Parts: sequence; C-alpha cells; structure tokens
Amino acid sequence: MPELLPSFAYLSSYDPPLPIIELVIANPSNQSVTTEVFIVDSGSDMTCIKDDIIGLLKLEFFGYATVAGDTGEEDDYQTAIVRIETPFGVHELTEVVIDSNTNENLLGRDVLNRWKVTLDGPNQQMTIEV
Amino acid sequence: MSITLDNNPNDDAQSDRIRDQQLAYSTPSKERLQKTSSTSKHDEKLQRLDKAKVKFEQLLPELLKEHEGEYAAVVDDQVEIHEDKYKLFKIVLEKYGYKTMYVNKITREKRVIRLRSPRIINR
Repeated sequence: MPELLPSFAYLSSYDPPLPIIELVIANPSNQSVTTEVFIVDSGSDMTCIKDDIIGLLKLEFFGYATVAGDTGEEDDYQTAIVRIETPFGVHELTEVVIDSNTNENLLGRDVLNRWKVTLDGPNQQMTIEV
Repeated sequence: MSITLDNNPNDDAQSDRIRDQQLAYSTPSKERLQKTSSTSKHDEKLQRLDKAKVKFEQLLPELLKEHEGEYAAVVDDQVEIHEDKYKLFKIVLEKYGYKTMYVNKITREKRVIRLRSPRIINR
C-alpha cells in the first residue's frame, strides 16, 4: 500500500490559488511561539516574516539583509533568528528576513530546498517529502 | 575565535557619526520605516544593531586578511568568528545569551537577496 504523503490545500482566495503551509515560529531562547501561515515561494531566496511577529515573540535582531525589489532597487531589511517547527521536524536557528511592508509570511528556498515539494495545481494540493 | 574591541569613547562617537552618515546616505526612509513599533526598547535594539554593524564595517579590512569567507558576530564589543554560520549562532547564543547582535559574512562582495515572486496587482 503506497505511503500517503502530507498534503496541504492551496489557498483559493488568491487568484490563481496559492500553495501555503502553516508553521510554528518560535523564539529560540524561550517558550514564545506563534502559528503562522506561510506562502510557499520558490522565488524567495530567504524565508521572510512580517514584523509584528518581532514584538509578539520578543525576537532580537541579528543583522541586515540587502533585498532587491522587482525593479532592481535595494533596501536593507533587519533579520532575526527563529526556530521553525514543521510537520517534518524542527529547524533550529534559522535566519529570517523581517518585512515591515507586508502582511504575508514567505517560506523561501532556504527552507524549501530541504524538502521534495510537489505542486499539484489541478487538485490544488501541495505534497511534501523530506 | 574571539576578539575584544577597544571601547574608546572617541571611537564610539566616531561610530555614531559613521552610523548617522550611513543612515543618511544609504536608505534613511527605509531604516525608519522598519521602526514600525514605536517602543523605546525596539529603538534600542535597532541602535545596538546599527552600532554593531558599524563596528563590523570598521573591522572588515582587518578581518579580510585572515578570515575571508568566514562569518563574524559583533556582540557586546566582542567579535566571534567561525567558518560555519549556524555554528556561530550556537556559539554566540551560548556565550552571550539571546540578544541583538550583528552577524555577517567576512567578504568583499555584497550579497543581495530576492524576496517574493513578482505579483500582478491589477489586471
């Protein structure tokens, strides 16, 4: 009998529908956690969180990342270190970019490239293997 | 590897000036946009981050001589260096606790990352 892979439904409120995943983000130094929806974005080099999570989890800054926008302009964004808890295991001490100009969290290739991700567009399902 | 930085008051004043200049010439509006939380604690964290960044940039020419390609963390007027960024995070967290610091690669090249696939807003 074939093994069932964890699957995640696309978010149909986007046009076209968008693959998303719910993850737990934690402060690596204490018990503060929050569950957040992340857009699965293979176009993002790094994972990015919205800035209200900083206050929520009392995160500290760990540096800057220079981010290129769609039109080529560059801006410096602060980064932080978080623990990311996924259905497939925990990623300790992951550096994430903090974006104050968005209400979306992005799961970038820094995390995605650790998994085998299959996008099933017709069925609006994403499956992940580790 | 750990390096202790001189904490000369003149050096701090110079660091502050350099930081102010950098903020003025680089991305001043963005730097301030990032301060969405108006709490003084948030501002203090940003000041510590910027101060540590200035220290890193001052030390960079010297660090490049022997540590190019490794990673440095500037925290509490100390510099910790390791070839592995993840291991450096572990070392500084164990040694200094969880606090704001500046971590970057010791390199001549500036790394620019891309976030977010382009989207259509109106059609």
